[in-house]
Amino acid sequence: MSQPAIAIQGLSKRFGKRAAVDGLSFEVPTGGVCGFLGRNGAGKTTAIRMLMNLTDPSAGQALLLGLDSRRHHAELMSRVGYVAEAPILYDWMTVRELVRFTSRFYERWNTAAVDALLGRFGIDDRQKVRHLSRGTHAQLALALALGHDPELLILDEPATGLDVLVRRDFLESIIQIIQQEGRTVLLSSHLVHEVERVADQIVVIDEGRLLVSARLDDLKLRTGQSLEEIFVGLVGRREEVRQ
Amino acid sequence: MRDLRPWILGAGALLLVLRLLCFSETFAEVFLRGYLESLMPLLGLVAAIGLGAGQMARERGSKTLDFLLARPIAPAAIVGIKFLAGSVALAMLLAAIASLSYVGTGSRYPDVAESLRQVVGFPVLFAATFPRLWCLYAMALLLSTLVNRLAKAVVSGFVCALALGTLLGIYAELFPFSNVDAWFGAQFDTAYRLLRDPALFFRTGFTLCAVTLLLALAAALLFRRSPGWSLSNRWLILGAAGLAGLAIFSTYAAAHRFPELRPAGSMELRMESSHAAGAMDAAGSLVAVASKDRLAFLDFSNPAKPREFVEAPMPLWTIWTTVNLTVSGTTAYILGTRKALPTDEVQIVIATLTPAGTVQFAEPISLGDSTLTLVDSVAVAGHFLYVDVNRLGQCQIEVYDRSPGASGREAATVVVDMVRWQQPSPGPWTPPETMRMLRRGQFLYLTSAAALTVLDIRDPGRPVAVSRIAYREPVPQLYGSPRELASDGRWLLEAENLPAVWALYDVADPAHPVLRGHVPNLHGGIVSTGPALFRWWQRGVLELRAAGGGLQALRYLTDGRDPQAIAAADGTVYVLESAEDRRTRRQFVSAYRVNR
Repeated sequence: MSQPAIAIQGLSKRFGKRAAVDGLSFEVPTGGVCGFLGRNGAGKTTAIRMLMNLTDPSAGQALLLGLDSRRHHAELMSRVGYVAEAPILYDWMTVRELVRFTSRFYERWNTAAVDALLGRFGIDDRQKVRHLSRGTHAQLALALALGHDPELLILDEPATGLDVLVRRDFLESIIQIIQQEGRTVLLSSHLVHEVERVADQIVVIDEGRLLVSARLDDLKLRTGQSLEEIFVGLVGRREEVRQ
Repeated sequence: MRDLRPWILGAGALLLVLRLLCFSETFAEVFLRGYLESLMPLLGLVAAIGLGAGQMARERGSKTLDFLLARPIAPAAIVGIKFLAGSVALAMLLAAIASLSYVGTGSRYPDVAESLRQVVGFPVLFAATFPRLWCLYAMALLLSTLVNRLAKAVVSGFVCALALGTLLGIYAELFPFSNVDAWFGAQFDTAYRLLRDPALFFRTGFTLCAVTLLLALAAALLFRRSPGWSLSNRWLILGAAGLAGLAIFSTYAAAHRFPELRPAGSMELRMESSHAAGAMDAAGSLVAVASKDRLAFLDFSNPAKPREFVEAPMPLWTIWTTVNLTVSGTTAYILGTRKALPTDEVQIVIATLTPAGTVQFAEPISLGDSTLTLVDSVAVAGHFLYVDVNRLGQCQIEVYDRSPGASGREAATVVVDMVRWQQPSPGPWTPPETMRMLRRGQFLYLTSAAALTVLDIRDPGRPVAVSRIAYREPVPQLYGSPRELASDGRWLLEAENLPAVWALYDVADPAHPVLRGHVPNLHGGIVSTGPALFRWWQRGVLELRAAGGGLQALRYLTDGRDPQAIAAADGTVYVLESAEDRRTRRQFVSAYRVNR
C-alpha cells in the first residue's frame, strides 16, 4: 500500500485557553480529492496552516507526502501547491511580474501551462494585481499554485466570497484541472454541495475535532443519505448535545 | 519590481533645488550646520529602523509572508535574503543621505564645518557611519521578525534605539573616559575622530559589523524555528517596561557611581558687589575670590569655621573686568581689563594681604591695548611673574621681576610662536586667542597655534625654551584654537578641540614630553589645580587621576550646589559654588579635604 499524501496525528492548536484544533488525526490517500468540511470557525484554516507550516502546532505532527512539514519545509513546498482563503498577492506587481517572480522559486516551472491557465481565465498579464477582481485574483492564485506541477494541491476555501457564477466557473476549472492531472487535492470548504461534486473522500471537523473521515461513496452507502444530510446530521447532533 | 522612477526623479529634483539654494551663503551655512549636526544622523536613524522594521513585519501584516512561506525556500533564507537586500538598500540610502552633506561645498569663506567635510570626505563618512546604522538596521530586522505589524516593529525599533541611546549616554556618564560615544555616533565629528584614530575606526567598525551579522543570524534562526510565531502585545509591553526599568536603574547607578565627599567646611560669600564672583585661587589656607569689581581674602585655616579676612574694591576708577586670578603667598595677581578710552587696557592688579588684615594694592602692570593684546593667565615663581601674551599674532612669554628694588617692568621676553594669517575671511583678520600656559615645578608648558613649547625657568629671570612639539592640524579653521592644559603626576593633558580628546603626554622627563595617547573629552574642561585633576560633573566636581594611559575618576565632591570655580592648595580643594532660587543668587566657598 502506498503512503498517504497527508497523515495527521494528534494535531492541536491552542490560542490562549481556546483550542482551535484539538487532537486532529486523519489520513488522505494519494490520488483523488478529499473534501475538508466544517462550519465557519470549525478549525479548517488553522489545520491547513499547520499542514503548510504557516502556524506552529501546539501538539501533534503533520506528514505531507511522507515528510514532516516542519522539518522539510522547503523540499515539501516544491511538491505542494497551496491556495489560501482570500489569497494575498503582491498587488503592486503586474500579473506577468508576479508569475516571473513566483517561477524563480522553483527548479521546474511549467510556463506553458500557467500561460494556458491565464488565457483560460481571461487574465491580462499586463494588469496590476491590485486591479484584478476578487474572482480573477483567486484564479491567478490557482494558476500560480499549479505552475510547478505539484503532487499535492491544498485549497483552503478558494471560492469563498465569490458570487455564484464566478464560483461555479472557478470550481469547474478545479474539476477539470484535477481530472486532467490526476493529483491529490485537499479541498476545504463549508459549502457541502460543492465538495460533493468533486470529492472521493471527506473529512468533517467541528470545533477543531474530527467527526468523520471516510470515503464518500462508502459513507453514502452506509447511511443512505446525501453528503449534505450526513453533514447536517453530524454537526447538528453535536449542536443539540451542546444545547 | 516597484516603480522607482518617481523616487529617483524626486531625489534628483531635491538635490538640484538644494544646490541652487546653496548659492546663497546664508542658506548654505544654516542648512549645512543644521543638516550636519542633527538632520543627517536623524535621517540615517529613520532609514535604518524603517528599512529593518519593514522587512518581515510588513509582509506578515499584509499577509504576503504566507505567499513566500508557501514557496520552496527555507524560512531562514527568507530572512537572510531580506537582510542582504535591505543592507544594499540601506547602503544606497545612506550614500544619498551622506551625499546631501556635500551639496553646498565651495564657500569663499569656509567655516569649520565646511573644512571638516573636506577633510573627512564622502568615503570616510560613509565607512564610519554605515556599520553603526547597519547594526541598528539588524536590530530592527530582529524586532520585525518578532511582531506581526509594521507599526509595532517601527515603534519597537525606535523605543529600543531610544533606550539604547539613553543607556549609552548613562554608560558614558558612568565611565566618563571610555570611547563609548565613538561606537554609536553617526555624525561628522565622530567620523573625523575615527579618521584620526584608525585603530578605533577598525575596532568599532568590525565589532559592529560582527554584532550586525549576529543579530541577523538570530532573526533567521528565530524565524526558522517558528515562522508563524509573533510576540503578543502583553510581551511587547513587558519588554518596554523592562527597558524603562533598566534605564531608571542605570540612572540611579550613574548618580551613585563614585564615592561622594562632603565639604569639611563652607562659608557664604557676602561681597558688596552687584556682580557675582567668578575667579578664585588659593595658597595654603588663604583663598582669594574676585568679582568684577571687588576682591575678598578668606581664611580656611580651620575649614570647619572659615572666616573672611577682608574685602576690598578694586582700586580703579573705571569699569574693571576680572579674567583670571593667581595667588602666591599672601599676594593676589588679578588679570583683567580696565575700561579706558580710546581702547580698553589689559592689566595685572597686584593686591597683598597685610598682617594688619588690610589689602594693599601695588602699581598695576599694564600689558597694553586689549585689541592688540591677548592674555590668558599669570604664573608666579618667587618674585617673577610669567604672562603668556599674544601680541598681534606674536605668541610670547613676558617675564616681570617683582623683587624688592627691581623696576617691576618687563625683564625678559621669549617668543614661542607666530600665528600666521590663515584663510580668507569676510572681515579684517584678527589673531585667535591661541595661548594657554601651565606652570609645573621649574617648567612652563605653553600651547600656541603651532606647537606645545616647554620653557625651563630654573633661572627665573631667563626662561629658556627646551623643547617644542609641533601640531599637525588638518582642519585649517581650527588652527590657533586654544588648547587647555592640565597636569597630574607624570602626565600632562592637552585638550584637542576636534575631535574633543585629551592628548596625554608623559612628562617623567619634564623637559621633553612624550605623547602616549588620547582619551575622550566628553564633558569639557579639566582643571588641574594643586595635586589633582577636576572636572564639573552633575552638581559637583569629579576628582580624577591620570593613570595607566587614561583617566580614572576617584571621588565626587558635592554639596548640592552648582560649581563655578576650583582652586586647590595643601590637600584641600576649594570650590566656588552658587545656589539660586527664584529671587536671590547666593555664593559659597566650600573646602574639601582630598589628601590622597
